[in-house]
Amino acid sequence: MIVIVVYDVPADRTRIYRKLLRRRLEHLQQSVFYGELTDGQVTGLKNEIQEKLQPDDSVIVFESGSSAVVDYTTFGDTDDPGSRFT
Amino acid sequence: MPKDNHHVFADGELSRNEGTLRIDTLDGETKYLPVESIDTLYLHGQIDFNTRALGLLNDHGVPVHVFGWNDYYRGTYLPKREQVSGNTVVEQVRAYDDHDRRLEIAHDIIAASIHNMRANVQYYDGRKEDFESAVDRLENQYARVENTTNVEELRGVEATARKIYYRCFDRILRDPFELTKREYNPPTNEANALVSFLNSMVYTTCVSAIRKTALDPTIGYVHEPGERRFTLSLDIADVFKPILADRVLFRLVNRQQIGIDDFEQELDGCLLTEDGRLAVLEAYEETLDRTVEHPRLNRKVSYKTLVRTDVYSLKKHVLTGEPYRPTERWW
Repeated sequence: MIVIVVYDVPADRTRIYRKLLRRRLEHLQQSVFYGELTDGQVTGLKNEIQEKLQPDDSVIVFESGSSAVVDYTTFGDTDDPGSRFT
Repeated sequence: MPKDNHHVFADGELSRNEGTLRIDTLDGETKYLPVESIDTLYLHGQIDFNTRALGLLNDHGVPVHVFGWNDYYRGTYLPKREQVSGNTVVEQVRAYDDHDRRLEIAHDIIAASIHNMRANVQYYDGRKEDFESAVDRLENQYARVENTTNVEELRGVEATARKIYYRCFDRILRDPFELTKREYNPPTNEANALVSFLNSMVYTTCVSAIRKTALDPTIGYVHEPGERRFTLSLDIADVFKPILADRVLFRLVNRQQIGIDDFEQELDGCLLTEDGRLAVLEAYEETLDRTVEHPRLNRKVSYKTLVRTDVYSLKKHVLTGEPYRPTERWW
């Protein structure tokens, strides 16, 4: 399924989530991650977020159903999300 | 649903950073790849990497296919196996060593391969030109497969079928593309260059699929096991070339997604330019994602999954004697 994760956490804790999310998702913007994951990966991801959570942290995980197509429009200097080419 | 492949065309450095893969391109860009969401990594550019990067890929079971100058397939770094089963390998070798068992598997592979070639020609029969005689002759070769009594004879049947098949290419392909004759090392014209490049992609797709099982990639049944080659991948690739490579080729050429100016003459061969290769790979990846309704699994599966189920089926056959069902295009 398509997953989008956004977070808003104190500056000194951003690296914790960045590191955790980058392993599975594409780092689109400062605190925005995007990608296609399996159900198992999503569960694992949520558990790991839970473990790292501190009172001030705010994290949102968006999931879209199994047939994963999300339309998007890019503006400005943006790479297409989900590209398989570098 | 298999994970996506990732292709690196840029030149630069591949390293490990914060538990994932980092690419620093020579253009000064930095990109992070989600190592847990990559099926297979393809390196097409000039890339430096070290053992730490390889170790990370190893931990996550990501195979790396390396392409060298002008995207000639150079080799594969296969991570340490996660599937190990001595039992499977022993049975795989036994099946190879037993004349009857080997021949049975080889029959299945070649029959599926010829079936898939015929399906392609049939698709274009009437659509572009009349291919009835080619379809009939492929049908004949298909029927002959059952009666061959040794692998050499079987390979002869396959070679004849392939010749009939390749002869249809000139009429399927939009002008000015012509195959004339299948030639490689180096490919002599544009169509040959496309066939070669796509075939190497199918081969790597099969290498990645076989790695997911405990089967030994070096022991095949149609091709003779040799040095330095993954013979089993060559076998499985024969089944999938018409489905994955050739249809992409026809589509790219006939819809003019690729033109003569996407090629360059090098030495005495003909090769794709970088833009051309990118266009081909985009089409190839898109094809791997296409899905069909699977009659036995009762769900939609992608072509990429089909390669995998094919290998699973072979493994099951080797281990338990259940019939091996190589993918014969049914859709």
